[in-house]
Amino acid sequence: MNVDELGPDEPYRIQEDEEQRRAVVWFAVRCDHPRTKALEDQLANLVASYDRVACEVSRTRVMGSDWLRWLARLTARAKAAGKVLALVGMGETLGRTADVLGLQDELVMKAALDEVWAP
Amino acid sequence: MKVAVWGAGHVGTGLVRRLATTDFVSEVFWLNRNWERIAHESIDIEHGLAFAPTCRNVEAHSQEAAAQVLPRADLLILTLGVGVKSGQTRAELYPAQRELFRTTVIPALARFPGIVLVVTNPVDLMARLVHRETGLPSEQVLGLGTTVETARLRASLAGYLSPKPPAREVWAYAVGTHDEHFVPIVLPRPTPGAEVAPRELQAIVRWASREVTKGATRVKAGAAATLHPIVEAAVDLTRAIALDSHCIRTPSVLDPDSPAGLFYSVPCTLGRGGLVRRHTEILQSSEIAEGLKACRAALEGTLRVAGEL
Repeated sequence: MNVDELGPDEPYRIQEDEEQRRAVVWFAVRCDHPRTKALEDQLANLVASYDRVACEVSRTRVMGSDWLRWLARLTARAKAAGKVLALVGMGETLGRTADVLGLQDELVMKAALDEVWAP
Repeated sequence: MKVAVWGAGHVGTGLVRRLATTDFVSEVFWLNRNWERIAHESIDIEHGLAFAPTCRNVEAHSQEAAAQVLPRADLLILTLGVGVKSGQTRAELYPAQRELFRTTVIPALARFPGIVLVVTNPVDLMARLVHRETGLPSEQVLGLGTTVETARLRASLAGYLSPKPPAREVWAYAVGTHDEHFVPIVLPRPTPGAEVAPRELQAIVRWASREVTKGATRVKAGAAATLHPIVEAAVDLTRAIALDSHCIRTPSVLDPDSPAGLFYSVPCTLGRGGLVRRHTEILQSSEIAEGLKACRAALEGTLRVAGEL
């Protein structure tokens, strides 16, 4: 997936693999879009529907703090259900934001997609 | 309302600038140890007064003139003192700040009829000191307390809720002391629209509290932080007093049941005379009571070390 293809109103694009019960959320390079209820619900439903959800942020340079907060909330929801939601390829800038928000220990961070799918 | 600001660090300077542009302040009297430091700055602010909605006068004074200037003010905001450095606790500053206040502020307040808002850290202990050593009625002495923690907590919680409410509409308070011991109080449904499972809310409050503590740490470290919420919190309390708004905030106030005369934050109604009412009825759960007990113990510990207990 090339995130450069995402439109200006697309904070992410979802790639589902029903057979493997997993999904990848490819986040845009600049994810500073309003976190609407529809988007919140879409991501929450993804966690409800799949065993493993990877949020691919390796190209993401900008992400609003509310997005990280929402991902932390979904991470906890996934954990409580015995599932996984992980952020893949988080860079230094996002890492610093997560630290400012006190979320470093709440978010599951992985270097590559394979690590999320590994048993 | 006429407001005096004593101190010209980042908070004091930010506060004078901000107060001059509000619509409830008519005059600002700015005091500082070093008059030269604020003289030109105050002229700069004065040059902007043509755009100010209500403020008509900003004066810079050397703190030696405090006893003459202060009786003209309705509210005095104290920001002077040494700032907390990274790795240092606010409590460690107490002996030095006490000495500073005893030699400057306390004598100048002998004939002050107004309200004192203490911003200087450790704010709970400094507010207590001002109350004990000036003889001002307790209603007239407030510390900024956990006003900033409450604001940060609300802003952070808002970011977790769906749909995201304005921070001011989140029902949450930080009570206790202005440090990492503060106790968050959050309604099971923090805003009318938000639905959060109790266990999920518990986690969110824990994360938001961590963000609040990190905010204070960043200010101390001087990294990736500004003093914006501190200045805004002081302006907000000033507004509550100026407009007699009877809004509920979390300043540091006297606990009338404390034998040591401790000051710490609880939700309070504020009005023209300062404190109108402490709302202790919402502090009755065992968890909150335990948290406040720890806050009081920490304050008493500092006072003991400083030879006051």
